[in-house]
Amino acid sequence: MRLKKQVQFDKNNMILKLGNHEKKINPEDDFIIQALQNHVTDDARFLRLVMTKEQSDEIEAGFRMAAFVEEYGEFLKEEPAGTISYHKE
Amino acid sequence: MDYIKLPAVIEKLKSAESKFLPVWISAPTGYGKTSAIKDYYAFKSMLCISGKNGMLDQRPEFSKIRQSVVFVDDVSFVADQNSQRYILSLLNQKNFQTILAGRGKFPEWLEDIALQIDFVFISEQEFLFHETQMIELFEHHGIFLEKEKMEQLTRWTQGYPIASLFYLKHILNGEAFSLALVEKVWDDVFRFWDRNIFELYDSELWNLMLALAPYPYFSEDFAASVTGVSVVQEWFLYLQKTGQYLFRNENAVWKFRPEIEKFLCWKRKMVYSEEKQKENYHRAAYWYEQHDRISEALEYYRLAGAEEQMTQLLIRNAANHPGTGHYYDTRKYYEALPEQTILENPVLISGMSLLCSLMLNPQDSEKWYQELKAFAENPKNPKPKRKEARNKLAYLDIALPHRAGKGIIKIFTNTFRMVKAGEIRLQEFSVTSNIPAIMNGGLDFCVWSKNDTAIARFLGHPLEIVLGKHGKGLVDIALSESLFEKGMTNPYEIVTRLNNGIADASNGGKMEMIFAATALLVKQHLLQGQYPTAKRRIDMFQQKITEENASQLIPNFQAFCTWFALYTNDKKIIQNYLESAPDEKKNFYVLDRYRYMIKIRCLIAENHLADALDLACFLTGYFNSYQRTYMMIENNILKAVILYRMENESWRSVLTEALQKAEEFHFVRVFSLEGTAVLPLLMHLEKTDISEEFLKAIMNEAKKMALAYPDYLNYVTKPDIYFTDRETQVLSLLCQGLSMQEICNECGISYDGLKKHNRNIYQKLGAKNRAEAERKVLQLGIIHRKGGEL
Repeated sequence: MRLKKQVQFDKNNMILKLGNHEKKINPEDDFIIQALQNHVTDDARFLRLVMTKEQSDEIEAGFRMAAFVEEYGEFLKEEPAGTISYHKE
Repeated sequence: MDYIKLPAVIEKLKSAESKFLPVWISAPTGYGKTSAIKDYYAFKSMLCISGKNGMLDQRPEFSKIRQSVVFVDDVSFVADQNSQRYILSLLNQKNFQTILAGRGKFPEWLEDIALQIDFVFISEQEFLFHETQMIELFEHHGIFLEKEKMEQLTRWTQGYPIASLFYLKHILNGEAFSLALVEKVWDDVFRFWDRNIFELYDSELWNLMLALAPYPYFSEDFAASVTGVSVVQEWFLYLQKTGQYLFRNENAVWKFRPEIEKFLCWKRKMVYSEEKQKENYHRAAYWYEQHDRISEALEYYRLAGAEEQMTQLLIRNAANHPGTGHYYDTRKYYEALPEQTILENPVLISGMSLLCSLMLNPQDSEKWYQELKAFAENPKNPKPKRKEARNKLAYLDIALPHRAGKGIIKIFTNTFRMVKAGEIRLQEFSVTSNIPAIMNGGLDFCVWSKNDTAIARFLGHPLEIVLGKHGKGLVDIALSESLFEKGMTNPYEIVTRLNNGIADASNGGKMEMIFAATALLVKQHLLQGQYPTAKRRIDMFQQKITEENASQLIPNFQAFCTWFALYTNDKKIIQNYLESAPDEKKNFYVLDRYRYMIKIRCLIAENHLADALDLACFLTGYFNSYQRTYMMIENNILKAVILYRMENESWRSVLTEALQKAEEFHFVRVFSLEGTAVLPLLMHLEKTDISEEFLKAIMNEAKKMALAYPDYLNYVTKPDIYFTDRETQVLSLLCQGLSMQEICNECGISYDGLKKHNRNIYQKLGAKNRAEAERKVLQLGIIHRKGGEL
């Protein structure tokens, strides 16, 4: 998972910008945005981050990340379906 | 009164007389058997013997019989063996002709002799009055009614001679010819039967019949349970033998003759107290409940006024049928419950909330939801019931259709937490609502399509945990649906993913998932011009439905098959579908939405554009308020097609709206699958803000579909054919199925004149004969099938 190239992150105001479109980042999502900014792309790492930060299990972390994608999806790069691997390894 | 002669009966009696053959006449009381015999043999000497009391009232020595005809009536009742032997011997005598009459089937004890001697059989059908006999009867008494009234009278009396006589009696008394008289006449008939038939029956038999009167069908087990009579089979056979009052089908289920059923219900009202009625209904309801026939059980508990049993049954039924479908089937009973009864049980409160949402009443749905919440929070309620209330709240948060799945991921997260903590138990529910789709299934998940792969990666495993067997194969199939709709993924990947999903779902999952996957595979095959492969997929799934007894899928599967038939313009399937499709004007139920969308297409294919537009506009409100994005796009496309064919320029704005919305998700296939129907619109659409790439993708595919399936929604431009007023009238009557003579009478023209008009009509249509002319006018949309109106 990664942000689109054209996305700008206004750290001071905690806003994501893409062209004319802006979105305020919810405080609870800040750590995920920071991870994206730090070029974390691996799904498993995101899940571990959430599990540590929120003291949740993998299932809850999965829901959490899906909710994040739903919320900020327009700023995220669409990935080809061939890369998908959603089963627990 | 002079006897009204029946040609069929006379002919058979003549034949029997000329060949000196015995006759067996079978018809219930009031058909005029005895009158027919006495009239025919009026100028011959006839000995009349009766078997009414179980034995013959006389058995004269054959050598002393001087009459030329011996008529034995009520043979069906003869049980005495000496009497039976006497009749058998009668049949072997050569000095007189033997006529036997009974009310029931041909007696078993006569079957052997029927193998040796030819009988002439006259049945009750031959005694029925047709219009000719009715006219003769009335005119004989100086009453002359118009043809239409005589037809009506024949219909109302069902040709039953005694009913005709009673009707005549009322008319002679100066009563007006009317529908209100029908009830009076049938009361007369019932009183006649009461006096002349049932007085002969044993009281146990009478009680049995009255107890079973209100039930359209009954097995022997049911009858024994409701009546307490153990020898029901013997009584049923007796009723068949002595009057053909009962019929049995191949499933060993019995049914009264319709008029006898009415008579018994009439009699029952007179002799049963209200308490006895209720007790009877209660017994029936209990039997149906024991046999898991919930609808019937509920209905008879309702009639028994057994509110407590009805309530318990509704609660049990809700637990045993986790899908939403059963709420619609049992809505009458929910609505019949007092509000206080509902408020005492969380299962019923939840049922009401769901029912209201399903019936397009979100306000009342939320009202019941709040009641459920209050129930869960009220410490005065017992703990187990409060837990049940929380279970139901969790379910409603996910399942209520009008909430459109808003914030559903957060809802799933909370639900999972509560399940993990043991606070609630989530009931089973269907993701697809039995529709062949997931993204556009129980709820509309189009918004997820924008980030489908990312959401699938994170959500896949958690969803499968939360949904259990309903989740097997779900992510593969849902993702495939999203990718398919966008039209940007290699077909091989989609087909592979779908087959993975089917494999998962087949391994302990649900048929609903396989249905969704199959539908997508069929669409993919159609797009690739692989019609036979698509057809095989459908046939295989049909077999699977039967093997797995997945009857809940049948209505939508039938709709899906009809959709498939549209591509070859199979008129028979399309018309059959329209006859059985749900009627939104009677009751609208959101779970029928898929069937309605197919209905719109069928109406377009049949050129019933006004009806199609009505339905599409009606659905718009529902799709808007329940945020069914995909169906809104689909509906707008079909609306645009309808408006285009009606030559209404509004099609442009409607189609543009659909394109704008679809572009948000890059949904190409919702357009391209409409192929030849939508192509003319796309070609005539002026420049819009829609991206060229998106439009090009749609056009390319729509062109391919149009080439492969040119008959889809069968748009044929109306040719310039002009018919004169008379030709229009004749053509309309031809299509209504009238005979040539009837058309001549209706139009007041000669046969030669009609032939001339027909010739002109055929020539203008380019048809060789009547059948071809009828086909052409339907195909060209010049005429609608029903009513044959132009």
